[in-house]
Amino acid sequence: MSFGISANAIGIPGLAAIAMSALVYAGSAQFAAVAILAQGGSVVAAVLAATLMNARYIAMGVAIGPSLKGGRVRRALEGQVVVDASWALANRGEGRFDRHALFGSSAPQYAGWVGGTIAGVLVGGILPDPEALGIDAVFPAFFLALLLGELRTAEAGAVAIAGAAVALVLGLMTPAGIGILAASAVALVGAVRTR
Amino acid sequence: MSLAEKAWLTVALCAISAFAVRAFGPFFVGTREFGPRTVGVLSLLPAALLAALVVTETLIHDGDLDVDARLAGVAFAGILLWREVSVAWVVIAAAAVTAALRLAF
Repeated sequence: MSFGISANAIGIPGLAAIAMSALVYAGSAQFAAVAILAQGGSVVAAVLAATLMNARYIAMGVAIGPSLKGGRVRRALEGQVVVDASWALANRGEGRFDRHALFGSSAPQYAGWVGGTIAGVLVGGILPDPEALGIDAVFPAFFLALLLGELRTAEAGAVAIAGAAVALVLGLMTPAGIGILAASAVALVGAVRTR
Repeated sequence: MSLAEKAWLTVALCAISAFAVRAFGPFFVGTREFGPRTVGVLSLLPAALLAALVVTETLIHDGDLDVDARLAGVAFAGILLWREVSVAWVVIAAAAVTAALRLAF
């Protein structure tokens, strides 16, 4: 619901916000793209940020792929129901995933996400002044909640601090969205670790 | 390009990219394997991007540093999250604190 209200508050057409929830179905990526548009960033920067945010689905898809049914195309279509929560709930460990748990947890989440966006757009449409109601604090508060969920290791914490620093400095010197994209480069330290 | 046109174009391109990243693993299953380095980068991307979004959305407004009631709202959200309050309430509380401070000053 907060996505619908926030998108509405910055001037995204209601139908576009609803279509985004229905077709993209990824909260963090949607919020990131809309936040960059709100800052005055380009379409390219917004789409790149959303794609990088969703890049984890590549790794999650590789892990869950063997547990899906049918040929390549059917598996690719079944993979569309993967979101963080459904993937985690379907995980049975040791590389095995429960297909039914994946669908069972994703269906109500999808309905809630799209329905909530519609409700948010409708509520947002009748709000008088979004700024006076503190709606601009919704984005960062939501990102902070998602961020805390990502800080499972000390390495992730260090990457978060470095990413924040890069984004803040570049955010003040370069066009909107560039600093956020540059911050993603900090994740490259994940390649040099030794396990 | 108007904001509405930019928004629709962004939605269309994001829909394509979301489909592609979710289709990739299941489609190429068995033929692609990622090493620990690639997985390491992919798993750290959200932390870097989300932290970047938290600070820019909290402290920057129209390209300039802007410390206002938002910061208090987000800080309050951090305290609530630390106390394990659910995200829906945290978001509402952040907006409420920000709105209350704007009303007061």
